[in-house]
Amino acid sequence: MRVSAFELSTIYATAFKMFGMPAGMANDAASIVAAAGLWGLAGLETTQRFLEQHEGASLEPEFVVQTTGSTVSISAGGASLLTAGAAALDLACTETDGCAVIISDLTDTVLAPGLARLVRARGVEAFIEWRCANELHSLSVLDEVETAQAPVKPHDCLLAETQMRVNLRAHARKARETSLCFRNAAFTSVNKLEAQAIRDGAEVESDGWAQVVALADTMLVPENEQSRSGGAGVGADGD
Amino acid sequence: MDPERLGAFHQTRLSFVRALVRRMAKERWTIEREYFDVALTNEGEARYRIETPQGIYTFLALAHRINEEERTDRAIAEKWDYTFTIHDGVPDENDMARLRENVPQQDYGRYTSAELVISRANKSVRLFERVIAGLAVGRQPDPAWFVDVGYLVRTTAVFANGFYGMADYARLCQQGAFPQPFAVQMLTVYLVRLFSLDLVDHLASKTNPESAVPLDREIRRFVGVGNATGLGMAPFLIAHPHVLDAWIAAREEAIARVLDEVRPSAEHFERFQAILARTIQHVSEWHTPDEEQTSKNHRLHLELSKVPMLQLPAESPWRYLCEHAHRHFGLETQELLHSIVIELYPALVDELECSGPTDGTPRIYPERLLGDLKRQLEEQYDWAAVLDYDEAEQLHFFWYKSAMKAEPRIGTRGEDPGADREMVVDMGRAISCLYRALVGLDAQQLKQSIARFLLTHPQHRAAVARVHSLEQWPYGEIRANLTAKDCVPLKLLRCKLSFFGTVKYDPKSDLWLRITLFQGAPLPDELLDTDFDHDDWFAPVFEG
Repeated sequence: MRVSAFELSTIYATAFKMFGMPAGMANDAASIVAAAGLWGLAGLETTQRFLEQHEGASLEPEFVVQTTGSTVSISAGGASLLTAGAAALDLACTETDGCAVIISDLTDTVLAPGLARLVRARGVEAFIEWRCANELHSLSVLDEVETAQAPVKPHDCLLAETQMRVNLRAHARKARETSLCFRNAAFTSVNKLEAQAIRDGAEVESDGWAQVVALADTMLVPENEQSRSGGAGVGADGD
Repeated sequence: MDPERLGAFHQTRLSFVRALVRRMAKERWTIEREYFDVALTNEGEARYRIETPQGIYTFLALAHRINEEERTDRAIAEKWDYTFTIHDGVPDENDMARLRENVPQQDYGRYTSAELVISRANKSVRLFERVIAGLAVGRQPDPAWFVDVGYLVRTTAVFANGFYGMADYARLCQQGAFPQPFAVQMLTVYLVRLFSLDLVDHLASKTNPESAVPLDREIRRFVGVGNATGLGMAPFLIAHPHVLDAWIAAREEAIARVLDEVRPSAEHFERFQAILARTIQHVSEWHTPDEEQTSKNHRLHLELSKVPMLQLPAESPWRYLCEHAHRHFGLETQELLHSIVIELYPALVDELECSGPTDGTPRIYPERLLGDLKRQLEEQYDWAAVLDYDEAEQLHFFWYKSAMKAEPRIGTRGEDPGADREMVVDMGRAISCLYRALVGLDAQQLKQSIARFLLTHPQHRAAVARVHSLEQWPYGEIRANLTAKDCVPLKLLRCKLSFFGTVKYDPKSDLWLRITLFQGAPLPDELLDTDFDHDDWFAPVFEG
């Protein structure tokens, strides 16, 4: 079935809140997944897997942050990118002075492109690499968001299987050149994918989407005769 | 923004209905009735074709036979006299079958990105049959009927912007036909008005083909569309501070430009007198059973009536007038005078109308220090800091959505179920909690980055994002506690409605009100008449 971008962002946000995420974390997670959905990535499937795996578990990531020279390494302790991505990005904006942040022990890295949405909110540019299914992927967030067609050519600092590397160029704050790890000529603008999804609706698998909607709908409060009086339109004169 | 003043706003020439009509006239949109097939049993359908420079759209109106007891303004209604949609382009037979199936279901239906809007409306029981009965025997209705009830039908919801699979707002902007906020919704209401006018003519003719007459043009123009406005508008304003900021910033800039006019021309003074006189009459015709609003209207009429006797100086008269109003008149009068003076200067202010989407990207600056954040809260959120959220009165209400069609409702905490699922409308409380967390930190801790703080305090991420985002939207924060015992949601509804361009506010409780849209607006053929003034319908009165 097809859904609108509005439905993707609002229903995911509500579902994550009802799952137990604090509001800010839920909003960021929804931004990541909704972006992935608009760009034809595995947003819904990853979300379903996340919900199954984290049922009843703590959603607060326990980061271990180590700074060695100009490199900041974050161990996410097995957390999902949905719950840890925004916080990791915050650290990358703050402590690395434009240098790379390597995040290890992070799951759901297939959703890394969705981080592009959060990069914009921080007013910076970013270059993101991540490993997924033994393939190395990369994405740049400059004026446009562009993904390289995987697999990209690995460079000399090979990423371990669960490592995601965020390389930030804080042009908004400093005039500083930071070289990219590599550049693959075959970048594709996701903006075109997004424009198409906006025009036609985003395709989602019906049963999986129904599960997310059902979770979001747990925020609806069953009504009774008394609660009916708390809504607008009560006391209408029948005009 | 203070809710008391927000709740006193009136329509202006920047309101969305005004902007839409100007655009329709300027771009020469045509609206053609393709067919009208509604039986006396109130069953059937009608279709209209709208041609714009950006494309062709189809407005489909479906009529339904319902029982009297099924007619309600509430969001939980499941049947209506009429349901509507706007389809992008010309629907084929498959589309029509799909629309006939889904549009009557409204929010229970499913739509494609080719549907831009769905809406529904009920008859005004007071007027509808009375008007048809008169027209059927060749008798025009008394225009005075429409002074009290300015409409034949009343919409109870207009959904767009991605609801239920419909086109996203971004799609409307991509196409170019409806980039202005709420433009497609306002067009829908305009077309509902047209449908209602054609409907009474049609049904009168079917009742008595020999003697029926169509509704007189002057009366047609005076008929608007009613609307029952509920609680959902208030959370919208909280959740979209960038939108509220854009609207109010445009309005404030318009007022500032006009007040800066040092030497208005004689024509400006004449126009002012004419609009003022019409507004005084309009206010005298604004009737509501609500005692508080009636009292406000009496005061408004009294104060406006004093304005002609003021000796306005030749230099900066509008500034003098508005400053005099701030010293001596109530909020309703102050704000209506703002609207009147704006009305005088289309060349100065029309460019300020919201012409497209505002960037709602939230901001967060994780590199900033906690000490900076604490100072920012003390400077910009003192209104939230002074509220004691431990007091029961500050958390008296909670907002939630009912399982019954997700209707927004207000519950009393501790009495009604659902507080554990409350909607986030009380930004003040979230920011107050954030501030309390910062107050407990020592000087060394305050040198920590926000990023580090949020690692261990993720519950404050939304509040931090709110504070940082609102730096770019200075008018975006409503400085009130929406969960307080003394909260009156009606004020926020009135604020949003003023930007729509509504008139004749008729409060029914603290939670909802009825209003009228497009009363006095040009009819579709008048939009194409270059001799017709398309933009002179502020504060409408019957001119027949």
